[in-house]
Amino acid sequence: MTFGQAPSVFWVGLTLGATYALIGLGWVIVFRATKVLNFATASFFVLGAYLCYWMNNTLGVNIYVAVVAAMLASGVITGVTYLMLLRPLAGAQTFSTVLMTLGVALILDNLMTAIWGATPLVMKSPLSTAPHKLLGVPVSAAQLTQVALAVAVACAMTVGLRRTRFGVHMRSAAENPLLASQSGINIVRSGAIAWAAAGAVLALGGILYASQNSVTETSETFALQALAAAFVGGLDSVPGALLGGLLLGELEAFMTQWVSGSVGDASVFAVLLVFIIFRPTGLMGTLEARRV
Amino acid sequence: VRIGSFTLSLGPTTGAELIAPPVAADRSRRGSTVLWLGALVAILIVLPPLLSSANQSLWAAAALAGVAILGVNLIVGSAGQVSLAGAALMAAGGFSANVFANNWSLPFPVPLLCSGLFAALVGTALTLPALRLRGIYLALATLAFYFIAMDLAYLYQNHSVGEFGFSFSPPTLAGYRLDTSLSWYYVNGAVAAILGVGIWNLMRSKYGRAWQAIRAATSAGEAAGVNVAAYKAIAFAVSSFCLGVAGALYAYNYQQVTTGSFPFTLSADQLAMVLIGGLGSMSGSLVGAVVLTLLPTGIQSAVNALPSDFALTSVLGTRVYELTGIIEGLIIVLLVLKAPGGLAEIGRTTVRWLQRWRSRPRQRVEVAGDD
Repeated sequence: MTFGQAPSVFWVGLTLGATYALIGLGWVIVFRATKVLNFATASFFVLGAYLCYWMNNTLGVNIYVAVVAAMLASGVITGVTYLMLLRPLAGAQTFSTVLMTLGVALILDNLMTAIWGATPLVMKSPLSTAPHKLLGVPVSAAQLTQVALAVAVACAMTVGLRRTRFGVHMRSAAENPLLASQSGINIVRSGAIAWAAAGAVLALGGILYASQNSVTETSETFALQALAAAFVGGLDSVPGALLGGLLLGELEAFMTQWVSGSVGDASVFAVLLVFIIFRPTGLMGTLEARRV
Repeated sequence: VRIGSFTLSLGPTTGAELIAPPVAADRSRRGSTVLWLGALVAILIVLPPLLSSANQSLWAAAALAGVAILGVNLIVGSAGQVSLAGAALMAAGGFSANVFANNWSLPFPVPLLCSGLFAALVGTALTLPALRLRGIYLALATLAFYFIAMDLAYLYQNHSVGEFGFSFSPPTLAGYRLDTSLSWYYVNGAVAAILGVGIWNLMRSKYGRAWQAIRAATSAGEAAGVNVAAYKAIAFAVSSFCLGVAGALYAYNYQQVTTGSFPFTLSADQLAMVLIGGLGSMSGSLVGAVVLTLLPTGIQSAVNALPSDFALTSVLGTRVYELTGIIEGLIIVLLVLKAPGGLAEIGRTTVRWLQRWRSRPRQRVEVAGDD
């Protein structure tokens, strides 16, 4: 690659990172509130895209209405999933929660394929993908929206968790469920709302991703890469998810450009492994290291 | 609950308490177990030649899954380390089998052993993060390990032969050419039996007790003198050995191996098999491997058996694959919620229920004149 390509690769990395950041938020919110690593994250990510596509293309709903409706529907589904399936496992061992979310993913993925078929989904985006020159670099409106929305959602979440009454409730419930519930905080409700919020954010991420890429089964590994990004940022840190997402998005874009696609993928997981071993709290995480 | 029992069991003289309740004195019971086991083995040896060839290949696949699940159950069930790297370790076995069998032309059973050892070497590398991490963080580390390993394998595969992967020709063993699924059923089954007996013995040795201690309460085990790092490393090595042998067997069974043979869903399926059988129960997880391998065909025949005028039949007929996934998912979800001990737990509850039912208090007889 020549040096002149660097700015455009940078933008590719930024949009990739924005999607990583949105999915990463899905992992982080759930993990932060309920200490569950939700392996069904990828399914909820794809589900949002499918719901929006279905409402817009089949039912003929206005695209903006469809986006909001898909986010709401996805939020309700994730919230109910938590209440029905994950809440009863509170305090169970890792094996149980990992398998539970894997089982949910299996059900959702196959339901989606059964309903919408296995052909890759391509969504029509109302946003223009035509490149405009911005500071001498070709950037499309769709790319800009993606980055802007990821940053906006991450900021809104950070402020919401720090400043609002509910955010404080949720943080205390995550910090110490027993004490929180003793002080009159409804920890089941705060968990359910955290899951629902994650579902809505994941749906938004899925819709944005689908508006520029075709969504298929490979989107699954994509969401796992987002987990790597979230971990690098700090599994319990909302701004960390944004930072980690953008950093790994850039890393992958440049590695893919310089070496090859699979090296790009591997580099993300290699960074994850280094962080897991040497810095389990991630860049911005506050979690106590769960080391032996 | 367990702390008392295992500190006791780590003493120099005692030991079997944690693994099995003291039933050794019950000779007749042990005798009947041996009898049942013998009958089961006889059925497993005699029955398959009578099956159709499609069913034979299915049972060969089930036996292969059994080899792999021995390794997964050891690390996940017995040592309590949730590992998502199972498929990657199988890939390590399958890909290294190419070197041992095709490049070095070692005679048949030898590549299995070598691949197992290679995978054990790779798996021990996994202990590097595993020694410092627990629970969800270890699951994450093994996930990362899976993807890195598979990306490396992909690069290696495409560099040497291309997308179609490595092919294997049927080997000969003691004059027999192993090219039918029936022959592979016996080979896979024999390997599973050998490894199973080996692990069963390991579980009853100081290694097994140490793993149980690590699983039940790591810090308490450490305090009782278990070298956690060493025993975790050994658990990963033995588990990876089984998975590596399974990977090599896979390559021979299907006469080829690509990175696509070992998808991430395979790792997830292996965890599901352990769950279905019962976490930590070796015989249970073998049953889990059989159940999950036979499930797709079972559902297929169930759908075929539906009456054709039933409204859903045609819909289900075109969506059998998805239906299988949904049912597998439902099984996992329901088991985790309702019976986290899997089939082993369900079996125990049923037996207890039957015993209670048999010894239920008889209807009381009213005695006349009794106030």
